[in-house]
Amino acid sequence: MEAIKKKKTLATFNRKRKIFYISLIALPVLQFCVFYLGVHINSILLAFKSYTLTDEANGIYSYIFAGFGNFAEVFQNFAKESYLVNAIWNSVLSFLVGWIGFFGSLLFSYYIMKGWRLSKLFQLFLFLPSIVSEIVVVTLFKYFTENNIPAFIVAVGGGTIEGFMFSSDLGVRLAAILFYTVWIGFGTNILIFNGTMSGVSDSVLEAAKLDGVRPLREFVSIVLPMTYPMIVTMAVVSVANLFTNQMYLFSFYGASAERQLYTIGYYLFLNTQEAGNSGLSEYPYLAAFGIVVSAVTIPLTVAFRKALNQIGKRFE
Amino acid sequence: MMKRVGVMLAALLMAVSVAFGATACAGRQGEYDEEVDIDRMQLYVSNYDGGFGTDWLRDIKEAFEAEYADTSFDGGKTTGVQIMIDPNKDKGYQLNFSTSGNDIFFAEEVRYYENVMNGDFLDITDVVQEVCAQEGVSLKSAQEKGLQYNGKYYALPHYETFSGIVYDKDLFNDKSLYIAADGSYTNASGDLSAGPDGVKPSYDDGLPATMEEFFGLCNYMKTIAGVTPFILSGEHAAKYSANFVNRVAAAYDGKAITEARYSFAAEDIAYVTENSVKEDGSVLGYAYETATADITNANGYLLMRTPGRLYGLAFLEKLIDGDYFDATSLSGTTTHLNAQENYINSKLKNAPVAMLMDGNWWENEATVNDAFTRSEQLYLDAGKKENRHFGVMPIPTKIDKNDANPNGDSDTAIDMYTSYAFIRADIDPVKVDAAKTFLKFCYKAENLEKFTATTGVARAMNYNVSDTTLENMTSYSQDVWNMHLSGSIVTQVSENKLYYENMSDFDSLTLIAYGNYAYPWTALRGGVYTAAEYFAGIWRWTEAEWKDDYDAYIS
Repeated sequence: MEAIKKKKTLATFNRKRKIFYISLIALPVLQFCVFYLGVHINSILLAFKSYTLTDEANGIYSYIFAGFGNFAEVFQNFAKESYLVNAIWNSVLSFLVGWIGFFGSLLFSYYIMKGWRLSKLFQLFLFLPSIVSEIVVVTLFKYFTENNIPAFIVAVGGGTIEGFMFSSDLGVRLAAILFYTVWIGFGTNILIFNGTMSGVSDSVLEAAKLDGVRPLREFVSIVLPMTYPMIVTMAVVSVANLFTNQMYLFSFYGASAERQLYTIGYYLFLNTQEAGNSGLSEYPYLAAFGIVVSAVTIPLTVAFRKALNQIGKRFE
Repeated sequence: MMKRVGVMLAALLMAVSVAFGATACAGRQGEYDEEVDIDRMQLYVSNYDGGFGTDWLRDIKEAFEAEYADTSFDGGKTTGVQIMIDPNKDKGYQLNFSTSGNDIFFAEEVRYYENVMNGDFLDITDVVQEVCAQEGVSLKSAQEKGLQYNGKYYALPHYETFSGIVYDKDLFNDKSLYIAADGSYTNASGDLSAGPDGVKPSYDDGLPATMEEFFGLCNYMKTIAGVTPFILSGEHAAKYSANFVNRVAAAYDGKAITEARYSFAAEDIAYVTENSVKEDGSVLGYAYETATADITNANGYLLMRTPGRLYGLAFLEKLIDGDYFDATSLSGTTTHLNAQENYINSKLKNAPVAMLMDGNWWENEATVNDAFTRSEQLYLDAGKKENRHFGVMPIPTKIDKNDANPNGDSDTAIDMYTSYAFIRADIDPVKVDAAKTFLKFCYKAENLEKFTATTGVARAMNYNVSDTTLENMTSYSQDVWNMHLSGSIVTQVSENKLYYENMSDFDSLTLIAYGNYAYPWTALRGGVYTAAEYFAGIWRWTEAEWKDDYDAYIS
């Protein structure tokens, strides 16, 4: 006798179950439709509109179809404003430097997983910034780099130096922010990697140890392949965030960061924030800008994911 | 099938009701000082709780509630009005009328024309007319037309703000920092020079009249008198100094050019010609050639090239190069409040700083943040606010005595923060009458005067303050009031479509950004550009680019 397994569909549910099931999913579906689909569709449509005087007699403005005018303005601005091109480089730089943190946090996670010397202390220090409110950590970092380091240098007999975060040399500011990005990135990454690595079977590790596998080999050949799906997820997310990453500029400088430090993410956030609720005419341009950067990010993310999956097949 | 649709619809309805309930739970947004009194009508009032605080509004609330305690605005349903104050930090352009529960707003950084065009504000023409019908109360001449949109008014001007230099009058006297008639330095009772206005005696006697005198004084302070010339908040140095550059530019260019930045209408305006700026050994550090033109919508870009903008940048460059700032306060962790308090205490702790780069709100801001109270605790009588005397330093509007700047006798400033009082357009119709009555009450002549007495600044319109009130105000507030009376503070209003349909393009801070630099402070301090190079960079538009951007407004 072959048991026929019937796939459960909505039609197979009885009435009470149907009501329960629909009640359960209706709210998330509604929320998804309004706050995800609705918002995104509206943003895409907005990119093709402009806020124009439509009723001259009563002075009423409304959105009308504007074709590709907003997109043209985006490209014109890229051609005209050097800081926007610079913002692309800063976004890429932040992304690349983020990878140093990414690999670093893999190694630290492994170190913590092995429970080697001071690993608990490292764990505490690296997790702490992720647990404490971001604005507190930013303030501490600001005080440390603006006041404490210059004071320390004077105390050990060095000359007077400027603080880093508000240095007159914008290169110094950028380096300090990138350092912060890597340091703060450790906490979040380690939290996730450590959790994943703790899932690696003890028996596998024990067997490897009995076979005389040294830590480096264990890390490369056992731990990395077994945590690879999580690594792929994290890596793909970081690519997807390429042009939304603000590099903590708003936390450090509010709306007053110097243009040379801008990332595309900060530019978009700042302009949306500054357009405020009265600047309806600014939104179509920003929507078009968002679509242009998405047009770069989406294929990049898909290609990156494919490449990582190909690499993953080798582990298999 | 029908059954299934019915079940789905029921579930959807349930979801909507849950979602609606969840949002409704948020209730009225805002933090109010008191509980609702259901026997009275509530008017919810939002107030930007920045440098001028909320005390002035609390005083008015009490008086209004008392005066209208027996009045019903809703046909007898309730008697009296309860003013519910919501002190907040929402800038005007950030106000979200769909989520805000407030009816009346006192806000700064309001983009008046954008809001009016969006239909956010209630027509209050009758209120404005009634306010201006009071004796001695009127809008400034530029506001009369400039605030109208399709012949209607939608807001009343709130406070008047300007950036600039604060100086410590007591310190100037103690350390003999006033300029004597013979060019030496003396105290307040010495034979003082005539000051920037050239009139003696007047409020500015002994203060620097030219850039040369100003920087001579800074050198004297630093090298001989043992006084640090300036203090500036490190956290906001870039923004505050950019506001300062705009202020100096306005002072040097004068009122006609500064007003033209909004009206795009002025005659015989001097502008710096292309490639003519050369470094030299003069006081300014640069020589340049000018040409003149009548400004219209067709050539508004020439306003980016006025000599005042070069003068403002050169002024900042000299301050940076001369190392005239208190070094410790330039740390990024020194907030504007820290800088104000450091400045107040500097004289008392024998590390005197002569001048503060800030705005006219600074003294009230320091007061509401208890800087003077703490100073009194530390330094007893000497630290008491009433024993301190600060003043508004006029900006020198000539490079040296040979400078023939035709606008050099008017200390012009821009009213920076575009602050307004208004009623939301979709206010509950039952409340309209009460809201208008409250607004009129706030702008009664006596309450305008009280506002100035409490905050130390003027509302951005014409009205009177009695001599008695003035005498009870601080020395700094008196200077601010005199500046208001001089009529040299330019309001950012215009009846020109070119401006009001594109007001964000002509924001003074936007127009001072160049390439990778949002602020001249960073570029000049880092030695990346000279003032002349930066000046050429902020011309922003060529003739063709201007035409390209604003062709629709060029007849």
